[in-house]
Amino acid sequence: MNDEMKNTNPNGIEKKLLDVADRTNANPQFVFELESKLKDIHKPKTSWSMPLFKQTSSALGWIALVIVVGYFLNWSFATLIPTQQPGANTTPNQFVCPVTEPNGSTPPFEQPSKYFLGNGELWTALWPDGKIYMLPTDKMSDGSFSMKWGFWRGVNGALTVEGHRLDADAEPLRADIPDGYGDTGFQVLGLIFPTTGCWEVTGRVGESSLTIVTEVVFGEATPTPDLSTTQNTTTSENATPAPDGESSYAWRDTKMYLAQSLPQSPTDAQVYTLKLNQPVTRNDALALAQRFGIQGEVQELPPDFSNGIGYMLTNGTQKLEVQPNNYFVFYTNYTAAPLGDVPEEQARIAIDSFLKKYGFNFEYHIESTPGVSAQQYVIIPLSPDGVEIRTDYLMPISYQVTIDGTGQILAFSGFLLNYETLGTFQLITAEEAFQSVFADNPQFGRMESVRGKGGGGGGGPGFYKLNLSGTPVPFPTAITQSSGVQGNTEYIVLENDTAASIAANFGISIAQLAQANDLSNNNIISVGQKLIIPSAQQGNAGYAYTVVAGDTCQSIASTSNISVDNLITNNTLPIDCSTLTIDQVLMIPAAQSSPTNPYIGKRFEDQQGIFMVNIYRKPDGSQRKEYGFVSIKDGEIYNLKLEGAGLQDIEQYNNLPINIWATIESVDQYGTMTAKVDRFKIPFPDLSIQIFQGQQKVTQIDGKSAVLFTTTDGTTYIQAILDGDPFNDDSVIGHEGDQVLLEGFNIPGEFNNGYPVLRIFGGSMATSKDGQPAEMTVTANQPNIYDETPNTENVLPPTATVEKVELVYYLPNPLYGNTNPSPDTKYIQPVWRFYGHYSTGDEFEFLVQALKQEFLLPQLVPYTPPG
Amino acid sequence: MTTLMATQSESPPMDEIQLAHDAISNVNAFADLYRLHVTRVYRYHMAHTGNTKDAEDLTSQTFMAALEGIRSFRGSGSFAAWVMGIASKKRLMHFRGSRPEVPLDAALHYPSPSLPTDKQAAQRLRLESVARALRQISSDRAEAITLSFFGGLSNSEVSRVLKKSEAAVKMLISRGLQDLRERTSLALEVEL
Repeated sequence: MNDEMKNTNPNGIEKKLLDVADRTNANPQFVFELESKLKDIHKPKTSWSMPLFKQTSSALGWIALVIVVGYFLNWSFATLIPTQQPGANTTPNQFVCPVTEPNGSTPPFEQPSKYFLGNGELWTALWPDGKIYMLPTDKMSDGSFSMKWGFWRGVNGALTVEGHRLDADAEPLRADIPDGYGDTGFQVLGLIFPTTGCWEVTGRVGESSLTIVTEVVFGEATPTPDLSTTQNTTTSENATPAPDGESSYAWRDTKMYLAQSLPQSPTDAQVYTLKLNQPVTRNDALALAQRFGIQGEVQELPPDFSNGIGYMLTNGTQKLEVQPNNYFVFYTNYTAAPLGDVPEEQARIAIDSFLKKYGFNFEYHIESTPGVSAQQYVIIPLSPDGVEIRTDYLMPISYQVTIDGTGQILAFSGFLLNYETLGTFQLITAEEAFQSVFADNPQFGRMESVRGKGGGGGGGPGFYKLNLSGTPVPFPTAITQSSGVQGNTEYIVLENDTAASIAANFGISIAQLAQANDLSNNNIISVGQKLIIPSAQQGNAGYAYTVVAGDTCQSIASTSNISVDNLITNNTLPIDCSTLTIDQVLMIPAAQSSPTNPYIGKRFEDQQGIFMVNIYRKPDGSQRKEYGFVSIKDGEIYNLKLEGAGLQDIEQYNNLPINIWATIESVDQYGTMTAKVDRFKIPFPDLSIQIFQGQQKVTQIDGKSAVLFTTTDGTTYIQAILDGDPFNDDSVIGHEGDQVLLEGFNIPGEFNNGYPVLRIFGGSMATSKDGQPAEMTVTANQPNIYDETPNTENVLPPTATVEKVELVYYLPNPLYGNTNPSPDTKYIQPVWRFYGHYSTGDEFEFLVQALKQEFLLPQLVPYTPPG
Repeated sequence: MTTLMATQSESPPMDEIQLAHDAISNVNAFADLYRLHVTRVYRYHMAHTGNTKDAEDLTSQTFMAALEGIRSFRGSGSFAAWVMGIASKKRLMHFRGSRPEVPLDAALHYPSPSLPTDKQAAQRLRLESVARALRQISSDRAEAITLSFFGGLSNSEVSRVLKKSEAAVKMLISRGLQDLRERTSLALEVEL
């Protein structure tokens, strides 16, 4: 059975699973009935049926702010848009490439973006200004350039892509379209352009097609806008450019590109504060009702799950609800209204007259909400300078509007807030802000958001609290995060401290602490001992390092306190570092993922586990080998990566027991822990993996299920997975009592609940389909091979391209505030916004506090996640 | 390994933090969340149980529990991972004693409208065999695979559900696929 298997297409299994999954759909009747049942059970809030508000953003009332802002805003936001200079960087040429402009038509179910182009059947995403910047890493051995591209199919069928060059003769475009993306929807593919130049690309599905024209360039600097325009620009000098002159930066484990130069900074800006009246008062509700022209009695809303009391007024047809957190909903005709599709143009006109009628006289954008509902729109108010206020998770502050089938506004909702100006304060430059994005600089407050197909999320260290008192509070040299421990050069050991906990608190590695204090191998410290804390710089965050004469991978890795392997992987260097050149910029990753990772320094003494030899194969044929270790200690499962001398000599013990003496040295951003092994022992050198035949039976032990396996010679084992846990898996092959074959081993002396433990890798039926005895050979002793395929976005970290750098205002999302928000959640403060896309298509946004450090406190605002 | 799923056949993952927050008090918001995720939950249960009745049962239980616990969704991590975590717990608690074999014809599936009817027989066969094959490999690996391929979760979402590191998840999926390929007859299933 095994021999036949190995001939099958390695990708076949994945495709099978995807195919089957794709075609498995529930009975529509069942889905509908369950939905009704759930709705019945859901506690109804009121007895009215309400139009639904489920926008991508919360709303903020510009009511008072716009008036204030109009008088006090006295500087301009510099949003840089490079001027169109087709062909300007090449030698003067009659040919001007007719690049296709996007039309903003967003594929179904995607977040809107101005870079989309679509014709109702096919969509694709274009590069800014129709120019694709190729990099040295995109260049193939034959001189052509490869990249990923995406099409969205609104029609069913397989996508084909072809293309040819317009401005000169060249070989045709090659397209590599992988399987597994189904019959419709998104399809990623590889495009290979044989040369740079002006290219036409056509995607086809059946009769439908979409053609684009784009420029492909290589080795060009990103465009510098014409200096004769009013927008001045300065290129960043603080960030270290890559040696080939492009605006690319070694960043985290990958690269970040700046598609635009950093804009010039204004010297100062306003800070505003919300006057949050939370919970809302009767008078607030009354005032707002009067604005909407609703006369009626103020009633209290039925209590819901939030804190506080909300209010409601109605005159029979119109209704206003104001929730305790100041979120209001105005129903113009709440007893009506069949919803229906209205052309967007008509909707825009209706929205405009509605806003003007009720005195909302500000500039705004309107966005429709595809994928949610055709009847709902989002209104994003703009500052007089045409800029949005941003909040968390890539959302702008906005109102929501529901329109019925006749084009009438049914409902309008948002936040009811008042503002006042606090004053004018000085700002950092865009270059300084970019330092925080590019090099994880904790000196500046920073928040990150990302949004893509799989959902979204946010992160980053966070913003610092504002200090608007006028008296600067000095920042310590090493800022750590939530632990709140200030960076000192000396530290006195307290009771319960360990070398690991102290090192972690200061954001350095144990090795650094030990070295600075001459601690012995055991890292023993005593209460009252004075320790020197070395500078956190090198151990804290990732940073860029420029190669100098005499450097080797070994020397760089050693001084940076990381492994050579780490250095190579993070910079995609070849195993022998042969491409290392002077002035090359390398990315030195963080030695540990976070200052307070509790696993760092964990010690294993004579810990038994299973040794694994793992080989990772890249599509280009190269491979790397890693050693793994899995074990259970104190009830916790450890899955470690091992480093240390001598491991290569025991590869024949792959998937067999080993005892190690090791310390966890680092944890990477994926949670993988690496341990340095100083000593090991093979406890059972004669133990080998075997095939056992017998029968399985499920049993209950202390309320947990386990599987017992009785071999043909009468021994009954308890089955366990590789790490020895017998209660993890209670599945049997075939049915209980069937004759089965298991591949595994029994560690002498290992018992569980009285049974010898059989650790297994897998198994099969003892007889094949036609009744013949099945054969099974041991394969688990072979190294474990993992193929890193190009489609695995997790293996090749996506690159990031910053497309927009602008100064905007930021306000923490008022929707997530409680009734007693901290002062910092009320500030509307200037921030530098870096917005762009990853090469996977996901959007990202970095917000860096723009106020100068003298207006910040060296304390982070505690992050309150929504919900 | 692709993490894209045709589960996005209903609606895309939106800003679900907002939606989940609304869903606490707004029945229609919850209904939206339900519609966004019912297919992935159903597919997950189908892959594990191999029969419609159990899958429908478990899907109901999953969403009832999600409705009860919607306030506990903290918004850290995706909603998909959260609801699949509930699905996973429900499945584990599901009575797994000897279940009567469900004859092939009775296990009706409702294929996508575009699927020609002569392919329906083949498709029934494949799901049963997938479910059976998954039971032959270690449940850790089977779970990682089901969450990923049927539940449509990304590796980081799977790692949330399984409470393992992403690297461990990758390993589980990779080894699981290898096991399916080499140790079960799944690779040999004839395509009709």
